[in-house]
Order: sequence, then structure tokens, then C-alpha cells
Amino acid sequence: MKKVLLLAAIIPMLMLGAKEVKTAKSVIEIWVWGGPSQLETFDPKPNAPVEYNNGYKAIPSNVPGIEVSEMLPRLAKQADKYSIIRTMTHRHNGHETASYLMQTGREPGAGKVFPAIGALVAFYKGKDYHGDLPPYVILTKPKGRFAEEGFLGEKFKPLVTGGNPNAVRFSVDGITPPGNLTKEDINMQFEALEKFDSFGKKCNIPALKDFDSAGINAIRKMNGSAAKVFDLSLETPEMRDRYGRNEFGQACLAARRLVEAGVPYVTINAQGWDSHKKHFETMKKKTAEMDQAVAALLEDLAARGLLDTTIVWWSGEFGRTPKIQWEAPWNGGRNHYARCFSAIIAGGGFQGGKVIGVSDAVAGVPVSRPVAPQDLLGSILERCGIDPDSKFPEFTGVDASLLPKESKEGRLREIYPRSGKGVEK
Amino acid sequence: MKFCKPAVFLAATAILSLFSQDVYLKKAPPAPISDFDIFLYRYWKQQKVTPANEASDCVMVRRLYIDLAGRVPTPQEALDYINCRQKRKQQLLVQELLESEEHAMFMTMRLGDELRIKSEFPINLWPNAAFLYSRTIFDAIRTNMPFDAFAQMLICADGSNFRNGYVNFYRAVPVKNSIETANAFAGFLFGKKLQELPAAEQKRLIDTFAHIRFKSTREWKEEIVYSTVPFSAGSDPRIEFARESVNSPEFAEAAVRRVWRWIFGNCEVDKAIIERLAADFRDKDFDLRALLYEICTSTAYRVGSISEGDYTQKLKYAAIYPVRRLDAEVLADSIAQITGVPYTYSSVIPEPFSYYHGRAAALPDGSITDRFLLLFGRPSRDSGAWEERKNTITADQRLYLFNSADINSRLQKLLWQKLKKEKDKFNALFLLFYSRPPTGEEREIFNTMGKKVKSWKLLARMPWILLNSREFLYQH
Repeated sequence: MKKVLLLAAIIPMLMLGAKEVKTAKSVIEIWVWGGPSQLETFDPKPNAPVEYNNGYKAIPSNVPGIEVSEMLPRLAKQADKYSIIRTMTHRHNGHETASYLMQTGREPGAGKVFPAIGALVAFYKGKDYHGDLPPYVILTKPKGRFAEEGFLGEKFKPLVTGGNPNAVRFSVDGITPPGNLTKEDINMQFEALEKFDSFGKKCNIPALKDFDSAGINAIRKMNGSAAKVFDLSLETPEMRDRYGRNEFGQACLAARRLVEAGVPYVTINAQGWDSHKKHFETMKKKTAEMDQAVAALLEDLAARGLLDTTIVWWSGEFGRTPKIQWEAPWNGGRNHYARCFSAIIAGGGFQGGKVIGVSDAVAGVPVSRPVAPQDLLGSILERCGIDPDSKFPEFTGVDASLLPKESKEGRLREIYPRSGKGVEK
Repeated sequence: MKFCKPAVFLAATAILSLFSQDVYLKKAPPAPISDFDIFLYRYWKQQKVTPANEASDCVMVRRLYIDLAGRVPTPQEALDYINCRQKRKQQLLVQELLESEEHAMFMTMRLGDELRIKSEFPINLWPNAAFLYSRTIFDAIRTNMPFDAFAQMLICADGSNFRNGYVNFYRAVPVKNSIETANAFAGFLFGKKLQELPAAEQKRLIDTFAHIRFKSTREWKEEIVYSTVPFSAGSDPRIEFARESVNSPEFAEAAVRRVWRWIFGNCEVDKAIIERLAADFRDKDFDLRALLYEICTSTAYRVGSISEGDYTQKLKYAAIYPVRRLDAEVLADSIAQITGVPYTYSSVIPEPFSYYHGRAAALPDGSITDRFLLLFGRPSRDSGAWEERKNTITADQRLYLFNSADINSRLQKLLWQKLKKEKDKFNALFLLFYSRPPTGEEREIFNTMGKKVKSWKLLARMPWILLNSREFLYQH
């Protein structure tokens, strides 16, 4: 029924000559590992009692009426580019189950491991992508919660870069050869590898042919454009400074380069947000890096005309308890909290400068418009041109839709592109 | 090998280097030595299959250590075997390895994959229980518990997950209901999915486990598995089910298929061969060690991996040894052993974090892992299906071995630290990676290429060359 209504809305628009909104080409996921506090980021509660708010203020953004935490001064100036979801909600307060839910949209315990959104987008968008890099790249460490490719198979396992993008040379494991080797050394070792292949010369079976084809693909990646994508020294020092000279900041810069190269799905695995203890010290350090890098990323993508075709979403697996735990051993910490937390979404046609949902006085309960994980993920898929209600391909042997049915409140249609706006054909 | 006398440690190096002989194959197929071998020869004749020539000693020693200890042999272990003049040296080494702790550890890993020993999602055993479960299996293998008794222990398990390792079979079923439990047991006992069994059998299995319940205690994450039908009264249907299950032919056949897969990888073998081994397995009171001994000393195991003719047909009738990429854990442990740099594994969830220094094959919990193991297809232990283990080689794996900082630093340390004082580094590297000395032909290649690009430069890249070769990366 909804599809019929959607068509009914689009057809007159086309007849009037309005430009059709195209789907997003890429997604950048900023996975805030551990669960960031909603109060010190996108749902500040300056007037909450002291046991909930440790004196932090809210600051105005560049969108009238929208305030964010004072810890995010740069992101406040980019608020027109993203929408804030203040009422993300689910029931899992454990990292592993919450991560699974936020990544797959599925309740854990179905007896199957469903693919994460990154693998899904890589699967569908990867069909039109022919770059040297895999369609799903994670910067820089694996999420490691579960097999993200699920039953889609090994082909959709993400490439995890390893290395440190903030190092003098971002050595992406595999793609970039060790720095101490000259081109001649590399050529010589490949020549020797072939000459010393005594076993391969005698044994000619199908399994060994896979070895050759994997080798050819590997060398193509090494010698092709892939290595250049990770060469951050090709950026100006000013640009690198803008993102922040730290691992997270430079990972955001690398993500922009990956999107430019056409990679459909990039995750930045931002670790260290599980602030049970020393919460405020942690937040101070983490939000400063995050604020600078994500603001620079949004600004940079927009300036390059890439934001229209690139979805950027930022979320953890949950938020943090509104009430501060001052007692030992926490001494000023916040615990896991899934009932109400914040996420942001930008680009790819999603409207910026909006707030979805209202939380209560301490950011503890959604008061209006709760957003379920499958609603957020479904919206991303839909904006990528992938129908979340379609079935998994036959080879998986799984008779289920890509995502569970959307919740009563539904996907984030209120921030879908307005007619004539967004990406034009 | 303990049984070899030092006097026979003549330089195998020199022998192999002087005569450019085939380092992979002997000149004829292996001679039959057991009743199973005689059966195989008759069967091959009937099926018009010619077995491959016997694998050489260099190949055999590497094969045995990989299949039974989960790592390549050290140079000393390889030379001990190659130089040993005892006629029964293969049988003796198989026996020695089967009785070793390393073997029990490696088989615990194999069984752990199927039994889904994992503390986290979607299994959620929790670390304490995963460790106990792993230890329980290790003890059962170490003491060579008959496999039927082991299965009965799993079926009839009751009690706390922290005190009785066997009850974790029930807890490792992702959806805890009688259908899923019945499905898990159908897989473990008969190698089938529940729906593949006849309808009456399906119902019986589901009814058997309909009385299983779980309750928590005041101890953090402790769970009691119990039956609502008192076990002590003898009326628990699991008792009768356990007795009947292990006596069915499907149980022995499923066990033999499992062991066959452990040794030969995921290749389908002719049913008659499995049935023959299953009959022997039953006759020997489900002695797992005896089954492994029978397989690993058989002509099916002793044949080489190189042969002319129809490869697929030979594989089906076990007339050729299947070539496949080393398992992720074997590869990690072998690289760590060769380079002298161990890996560290960790699980960052659930808290408290787990860190593990040691063999990948000894990891007691599927949640403790690292990037290498993930990349090279270690099973996630989500379903327990053997298909979870991936032995395919991918471009990303090859790139990791070509260029990663991890591999690069290990190879540097091998050459400039571990082999610093070694005079013949070329020979030492071949023994480390290939478990054999270089052939004369390979020395010739080194000399010729060395003149062109400078010997020291070529030698510096030799660890990389050997590591990235098919001969090292594949079990053959």
C-alpha cells in the first residue's frame, strides 16, 4: 500500500517536470563502538538535575531551534547537513546483542546470523561497482562482534585495513608493500616465487588454479589505483589538519577518499566509547576528535558535491544511562542504555537540519516518534535503492526479507528528499 | 621422533641436494599393510582406479604433523623422520602424535567447531562455561574416552554450566527449544539435519528433549540445565535415546565422516569406504584414537597428492591425497613456530576481556580471535556446520601474506634474529617452511638468480618466497 502511495506521489511530480531524486551511491558508517552518551552529544539536557547532567551546556547550531552539546562546537555549525534522531530505541543492553541488532535490524536468537547492513549494501551496490578495492571496507580495526557477512558468504566479508592512517605512511595491510622494498625488489621476489614453485610445477589440480587467480587479483589491487586511495600524503597538509591529526580524524579523511573511488560501503570503527568509568574525561577527549573529524567530513563531502550521493550515519550500539554513577567503582560513569539514544544521518538525499523524536527531560525515554533499528537501517537501504522488504537472494536458502517489517512509526520518510531536491539525474 | 638413533642423522640435506630426485613421491603406490588397505586395493581394482604413488618421507612427516598436531614439524622433527631407517616409522610417529597433548588440543579445536564452543553471540556460553566445555572435551580426548560414551555424556548431561562441561551442549543451541535441541543432536549424532530424518524419528527426538529446562542461579551467568523428568528415577527419555542412538549404524558412520573430514578436508568420499571404517570403529568399541590410527597409516593416507588421470575420481575413492589450503589455525601456528614470534589473541567482549598467548589451535573459545584467523576462514562457530570453515584462497589473503606489516616484521625477525648464526640459511629456510632440504635444482635456481640480482638480496627475500608458495600454504 505504501509503495502505491509513494508512486502516486512521484508520478505527478514527474509530470510537472520535477527532477527525480536519485539514490545514494555510497555509505559511510561511523560506528561509535561502546555506546556514546546521548547527553554529551546530540541530546543535551542542560536543565536536567545534577545527578543527570554534570554541568554541560547546550549550544545553538546553524539551524534555528536545534541545539547540541557544547562538546560539539564544529558539528553545531554543520547541523544543516544532518538530521538528529534523538529517539533510537531497543531492548538490548549487552554490546554483542545490541551490535547485532543495530547492524542487522534483527533480534538476536533466530538461529541464523544475518548479514550486517554493510554486507547488504556491498552485495547489492557492489554489482555496479568495478573498482580494485572490495565493496566493503572497514577503517581500521574489525568490529569483531559477529561474522558481518552472515550467510551471504565470504565474498562479502569486509576488507579491514589495519594500520594507522595518522602514521607518516598509512600502511594498509596487503595493499601497500612494505616501505623498505624498491619496485625492483618487488618484481624480483615475484619472479623468484614463480621459479621456486617446485610443487606447483608438478601438481596441476583445480584447487591450485584458485591460488593463481587470487594472486592475479591481489597483484592487480597492489598495482592498480587501490594503493593510491590509501595514500593520504596525496592530500594537502591543510586538508589533513582539518580532519585532525589523530587516527580517527585521518580515518574519516581516508573514508572520503574511498567514497571518491566509488567504494559503496565504508565503516569507520571508532573505538573507546564504553565509558563506564571516567566518563567525562573520556567524552572530553573523544568528542573533541569526533567533532572536528565528522564536521570536516561533512563539510568536505558537501564541497566536493559528494554529500548528495553519500549517506553518512553515526551511531553506537546504544547510548548511556542518563543517571551518572558517582559511586565506586564507577566514580562518575555512565552504563549501557538502549531505551533512548541518539544517532545522526546525513547526505544521500536525506534532509539535514531536522530533529526526529523527542526524549524526556533526562534523555531516558522517547516521548514521541521512537525509531527502531530496522527503521533506521531500512531508510538507509531505501535511499540506496535497495528494497528492504525484498527477499534475500535464492542462493542463501533463506526465505526472509532483507530487514524485518518496519515498526509502527516506520522508516524515516520525514527526512527523505523533497521533490526536486536532493540528487538530480 | 624418540625412537630414532642419533647415528642415523646423516645429512639428508646432502643426499637430497646431490641427487635431484622427486621430493614429493616415491616410485610406486604404497604397499598394503592392514586389512583396510587390502579392502581399499580390492575396491580400487573393482572401480578401475589406480592409486597415486606413495608420498615421500618429506611429504609424510609434514602431513602427519599438520593433520595430527596442527602445525608443521620443526626442522629437527622433520629430519628425525626423514633419516630414520625403521620400517614402521610412520606407524610409530602416528602413535606418538596420537598420544600427545598437542593432538588432544588440536582435536578439541576440531570438535569445538562442531559443538559451537563460543562465549559470545549467537551462542553466548559465557567465558567460564566455554573454558570448562573446552577442557572437558580435551580431557575426554586425552584419556581416549570411547566416542559412544562421550556422546552419551552429552545427551544425558544435567547440572551447572560452570561445573559440568557437557551441559553446555544444550546451552550452545542458539534457540533453546526442543526442536532446535533435537536438530543439534541430529547433526552431532547422525550427521543430518532434523528434517532429513523420517517423521517418526523427528518426533521422537523432539519429544526426548521436550523436558529440558534452564534456570539461573545467584552466581553471575551460571545456568542449571535440568530435565523435568527426574533422571534418578530412570524415566528420563534421554537414557533410552542415548543407548539406542549410539548403537545405530548412522552414529558410527557420522563419526567416521567427521574424522575423515578432519584428516582429508571437505571432500566427499565413496560411501563404501566410510561403511567399512564405521564397521571397524564399532568393532573397536568406538575408539577414536584407533580410528585415527587406522586412517593415518592406511594406503588412502599414504598416497601422494600428485598423479596423472582423473583427479575427481581418485578423490572419490581415496586414491589420491586431497590438496587444500592449510586451516587458518594451522597456518597461524606454523608461521608463529617458523618465525619464532607467537600471536596474541583477544576477545574484547563480553567483559572482562580475554587475552590469550599461545597456539591458535588451543584457543578455548571461538570468540577469542584475531584478524589473521578471521581472514583465513576460521569457523565462526555460529552454526557448528562444517561448511563454516573456509579453506578457499582469496586475493585478500594473498595480499596479507604478500605485504602486511605483521608478516613482513615476522620474516625480518626470522632471518636476522632466529637464523642469525645459521651458516646455511638457504637450507635452514627450506627445512623450516617445507620440512625438507632444498633440491639440487632449487640450489641451482638460487645460484643462477643470485648472480643476476645479488645473492644476499635474493636470500633476504627467500622467507617471503617460501611463505607465499603453494608448497607451504597447502596441505599436500
